[in-house]
Order: sequence, then structure tokens, then C-alpha cells
Amino acid sequence: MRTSILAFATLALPAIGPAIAQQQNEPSNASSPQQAAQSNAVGAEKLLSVPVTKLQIGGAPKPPRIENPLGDSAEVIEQGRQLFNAMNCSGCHAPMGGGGMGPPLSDKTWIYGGSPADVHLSIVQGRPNGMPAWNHLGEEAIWMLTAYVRSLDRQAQQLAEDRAGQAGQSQAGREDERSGQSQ
Amino acid sequence: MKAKAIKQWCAGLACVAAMLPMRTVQADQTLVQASKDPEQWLMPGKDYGATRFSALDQIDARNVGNLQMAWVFSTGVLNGHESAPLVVGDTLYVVTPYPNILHAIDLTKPGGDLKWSYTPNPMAAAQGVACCDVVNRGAAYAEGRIFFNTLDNHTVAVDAKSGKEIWKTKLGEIDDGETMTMAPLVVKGKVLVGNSGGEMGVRGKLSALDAGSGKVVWTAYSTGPDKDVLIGDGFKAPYADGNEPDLGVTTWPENAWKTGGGAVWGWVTYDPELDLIFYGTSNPAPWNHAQRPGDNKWTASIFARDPDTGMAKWAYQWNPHDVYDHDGVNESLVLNLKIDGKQRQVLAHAARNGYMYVMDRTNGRIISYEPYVPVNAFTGVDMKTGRPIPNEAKVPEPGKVTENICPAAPGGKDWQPMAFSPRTQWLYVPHNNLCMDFKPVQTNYIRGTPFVGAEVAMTAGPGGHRGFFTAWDPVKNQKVWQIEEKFPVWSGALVTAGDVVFYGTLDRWFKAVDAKSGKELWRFRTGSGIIGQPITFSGPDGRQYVAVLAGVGGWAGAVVAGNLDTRVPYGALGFVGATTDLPQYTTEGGALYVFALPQSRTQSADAQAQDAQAEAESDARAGQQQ
Repeated sequence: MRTSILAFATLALPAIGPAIAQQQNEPSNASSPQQAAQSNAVGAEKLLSVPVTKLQIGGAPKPPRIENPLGDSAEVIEQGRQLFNAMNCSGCHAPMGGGGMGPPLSDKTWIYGGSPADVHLSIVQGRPNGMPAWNHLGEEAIWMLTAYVRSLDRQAQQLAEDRAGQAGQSQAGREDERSGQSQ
Repeated sequence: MKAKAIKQWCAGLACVAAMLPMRTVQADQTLVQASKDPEQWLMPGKDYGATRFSALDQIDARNVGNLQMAWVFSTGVLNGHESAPLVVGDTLYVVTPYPNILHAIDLTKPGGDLKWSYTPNPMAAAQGVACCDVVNRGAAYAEGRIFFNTLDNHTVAVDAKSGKEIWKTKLGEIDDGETMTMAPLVVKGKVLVGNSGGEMGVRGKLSALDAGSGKVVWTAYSTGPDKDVLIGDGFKAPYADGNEPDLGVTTWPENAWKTGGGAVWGWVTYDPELDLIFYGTSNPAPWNHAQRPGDNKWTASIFARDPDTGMAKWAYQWNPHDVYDHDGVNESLVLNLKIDGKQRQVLAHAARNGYMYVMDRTNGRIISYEPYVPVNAFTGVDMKTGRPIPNEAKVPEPGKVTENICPAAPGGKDWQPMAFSPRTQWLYVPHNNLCMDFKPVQTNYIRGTPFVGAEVAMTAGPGGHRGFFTAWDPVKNQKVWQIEEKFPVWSGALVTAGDVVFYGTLDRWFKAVDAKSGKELWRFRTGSGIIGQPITFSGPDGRQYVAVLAGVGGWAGAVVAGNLDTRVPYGALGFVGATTDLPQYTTEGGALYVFALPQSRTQSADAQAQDAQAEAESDARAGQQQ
């Protein structure tokens, strides 16, 4: 089963394959200095300066504002969606992140923060009440997942509107039939 | 065992308490006998056959309308409260959801005093691999000890008097996706426990631990070669497809049985006459059936085993190559019924697949089956082969949505246990009315993560009400009366010699109905939805009490317990689709509710005389002090 993950990753997501293959051999850090120099990485040192807590005491520096280096295009979100399924995130958090074993990702409540860096770190480090640590996926893959996760609220809203619209249409259809009109 | 009144020298206010009868569990009683004592509740199902029937009749159909809340105890925990409290002597025991605190409550004190709490400290990360809320279905008592399981795969033995831990045995790994949620059954000095994790690709198993030492005596796996499944020379399956060697390997793609599920997270029952235990196994993993062609034995099956050795006498697969997550773990009640003029030793089992089975428990053959909910997933069960006949139009195809499959994944009934009254000879079944849309998708096995591969959205079954409480005649195998409920009835059932049936609803109602007619006799609104198992017992004061845990959650209540997004129907393996309105009816909050008839209706003449004496003495002392 391991080989199928690699096969999927290498075929569908060329950037991910090497990162996942690497984790077979070494427990790697999120990124090396060389990787940090690339444009698609933020780097471990900067990421770790983002506190998990929102309490900011005297003397503590303001947390850095970190954007997703991959952006949030439809393409990146789709890459994230494929990873979300391939890594079984959908098993715990449900398809479209509605929640289940794991908390919902599609709503506006964030236990550990909803900024790009917050989401990224939750995936990298895991969290104490059951979220596993996915450091071994590599920073780039986790930014793709971050983009997908942060798009889920909008997707859930769209789904709710679509379903309400469908229900309305079938209702209208039934009313039209009753009144003898055809559509 | 009758309550014995013990006269003691008394002083002051201690006098009244000392005058109450003190009860003990005799050391030389076997559980078979002790479980018959109506005053106590020593195992979740009341007795080894899991009838959940109490011979107490102080509360009956005529007076239950007067039932009042006697006291309430907050468990201190949120999430779904599924367990059955135990009453042993004068102490009530309750196990909470994670973090699995065991509370002991002194029933001799007014309103129940907290005697002690034992905290096993399970790993917090275990919450991340529990599929269906961090529930616990309760403890079992034997030999002066309370036995229960922790979410992070430990079975614990605690001294029933002192609350001290005696032993704690680790049986699995959360890193493998395993947890434990089931209530143990203690048979002949062995504590029988099984794992959870059919959604995580675990390898299901039932373990027998020595009650004295906690050491594992035998382990029976649900999949794999016969030597692991403990199938040997004494085994005979009831139908032809069960009698080849190593079916736990050969009915799977290569090695798939190692991550094939068959978790043992449900109920174990026991027949002391045949000396056989009965229990079922979970769904096969993954839910995407296309990834595991073959019968996938012995998932979604029932085993009959020798409790001393674990060796299987027979096994029957309810659902070969299950495609709907129709686990086989529901309780199989041990009943002796007269069917077609003959006395039969049977098991009654309300299966996930929507059929009520009456089985011959000597050999595993089906005596009769009937749908107890609307079923379109199957067209029936072939009585020659014992195999359900699939409705091919409802078998899900990978990548496509198959709509309106009935019953849904939680089945006609899930874990919520039914009861049986020997007076009416009827089953009392809390259950579901749910259908689903189901789309299989490719999933990869990554150890410690879900191995599911399905997008599911559930809906209400025909009629729109999502639950039923049904009285069912197992001899005729047909419905007697039925109550429609707005939500799935996810609590256990209790039936008494007073001909009263108790159950609870997700929208916070604890109900008493007439066992014969189904007429509602009483209801009480609790703080949170009820998914616990009601029990009844006799207090030290001689009054009959009824107790139930409220505290919504479990798979059905996950939308509340997990604060899930009601816009996404796929949440909680599809259950959110059918419970988007539940948050409007209940929030979380665990509490034990204890009910009784008002004091004046139950005091015996004896107790009244003792109270009068105590009052007179106390007045005399007060007079002396002046």
C-alpha cells in the first residue's frame, strides 16, 4: 500500500513525489536552508516564530504575517484537494472538511488558528487531541493542503446554496405540476 | 438475595443511615446467579443473555406516571455518554466517555455521595483515532472488581470497594488506529474485551484476560489464518461457504486481511448451559468494497466460542463482502423460545442490514429473518446458503453516487441495545430509520489514519422520522407496536416486570411506555440528549430506582459533540446529512439521572417505624441538652 501512495504522488504531483520519497529514508525537518532559499518555501525558522497562542505578552515581538507562498489559485487548491484525499485527511475531517473524527475545517471556528501559518503548523506538528504530525510530506505539499483547507468555508457555503437551490427547484416543479403548467 | 436489615447501635443522625439495610455481594455466588438478583445490576445487559429485563415491579404501568427525579450527578465530562451504570451492593458505578473516569457513588447517602473517582489517564491523542465520538459503553463487575476499557487500548481492573487500580493491561496501539470503547463481559474468571477501528483498517480481535492477573489468556482474531481465528477441529459453520480452511485469508486479496477490520467493539453474550460466548465483528476495511473483492471473512460475522479456550464452535457471516458498513457487532440475545411448537435455543439479533434474525444458537443456522425497517439494499436472505441477496441496483460503484440506499450505514439498528421481556415474550428495540447516498472512492492504507474511501450522506428513511422504538415478537418475527421518533433512538432499552419499558431520545426525552400497548406513560426532559443505557435497581432504602446517563454524542450525535459543519452532509461518515437540525434540540453535557416514585408511596412500614424511633431519640437528646 505504501508504494501506491508514492505512485500516486509521483504521477499526479511531481513536486510532492521526491518529498514523500525522502521521508522513507529519513525523518526530515520541514526544510533545509537550501529549500528555504527557494521561492515556494517560507522556511522552518520563520514558521516556528509563529506562536500557537493568541496571547501576546509584553516584550514578545509581533508574530510575522506569513502568506501562503503558493497563493490560493484554483490549481493550488485542486492540488491540495488531491492530497487531502490521498493522505486520508478526508477520512477524519470528512469530504469537504465538514468534520467527523476530527474537527470541521470548513467552518469559521479555528481551534489552533486559521491563518496560513497557523494551518500550516497544525498540519506539520499535529495537535495534542488527535491530529497527527505530517512534517514528512514536505513544506510545499503542506502549503497546498493549507490552500485547500482555507478554501473549504467558501465551498461549504456554495454547497449549501446549491442544495437549497435544488430543493427550491424541485419544490417549484411540484407546484407547477399541480397547477398544470409545464416548464 | 433479599435485603437484610441490620440493627446497629446508633447515635444521633447516624442512626437513620445505619438502620438502612446493608447489602453485599456474596463472595461465593457465581455471576450467573448473582446477575439474577433484581436489586443489583452487575453487567451492562443485566444478565448473560443481555435481556436488560428487571424483575423489579415496585414501579409499574399504573404508577410510573408519578416518577420523579430523585437526584442527578454531573459526570464532569462532555461527549457522548453511552454506558450502562452498574449497581453492586450499595454502590453505583459509572464510566464516562474519554477520559474514562470511573465514578463510584454511595447509594446509602441521600442524593448519592461521590465515594471516589478513578482516573486512568488515557492518552489524549487517542481521541484522534476514534471513529464515532469518544464513547465508552460501560463496565462489568466480578469478584470484587470493576472492569472497563479505556479509549487508548487498556483494560483496567479496579477494586470495587477502594477504587484502587489492581491491574491495567495494554491491548493495542493508537498508532495502528486502534481504540477501545466496548463494555467487557466477564465469563468464568475471564474478562472478554475487543478492539475498535473498523474505519482505521485495524485487525479486529477478541481477547480474554485473566480476571485475577490481567494477563492475556487467549486472543481470537477476526481475520487471518484459522490458527489466529481459533478455528480448529471442533468448528462447523452452519452453511457451506463457511467450512473451507483459512477463509480469513483466502476470501481477501493478498494481505488485505491484515488491515481488514472485523473489530470487536460491540456486545458479548453468554449461554452458561451450552458454555458458549457469542459476539460479532465489524465491517471490513475499507468501506470502498471494490478494493477488497471476496467474502472478506470473518468481518460482519457472528462467532460462537468456548470461553475457556476461545476456540470457535461455529461462525456465520451476516454480510459477506459488505458494501455498506453493516457491522455484525450488534447484541445477540440468548433466549429460549417456543417456535412452531418446539422449544428452541435461539439468538435474537437485529442486524445492521435491516433484518431481524432468529438463529439456532447451537449451530448458527437461521430459523427466521424479517425486515424490521424498510430495506432496498437486499431482496432477502437465501435460506439454503445463508447469504443475503444483494439488490444489484444498490451496490455502489467506485466514483459514482448510488442514491437512497436503505438502510443507511448505521443500519436498521446500530450498537444501541434492545431488551426482552419474558412476560410479554417481546423484544423492545431502539433503532433507526435512515437511508443514504454512497460513493466509493479510492483510499490508501496509511497506518493510524482512516481507511474508509467513501463519500456518504444520510437522509431520513421513508416517512421522514429518523428513528423508531419498536416492540417485536421474535417467535412470529413480526412487529407488535411501534413508536416513531424524530431522531434515531440511540439509547439502550430497559424493560421491567412492572411491564414498563424505558428509553431515551436525542432530543432530551427519557420516556416510559407500556410494555404491552406501547402507550406513553411518562416522560422527563433531561439536560442533554440521551444515548445511555437505562438500568433499574433497588436502593438500600428498598425503593426502586431507574437511572440513565444523558449526554449527547456518539455517531448519531456527532454533529453536536464535534461541533460539525451542518452545511456539509458528508460529516461524521455521512451522519451529519441526517442530523443537521439536532443542534437546535440539544447541546452537550454529561449527567447521571436517577428517578424514583415519591417517598410516601414507597416507604415500608419498617422504615417508617425506624424513622419515628430516630426522631424520638433525637428529640430526647435535644431535651437533655437544654
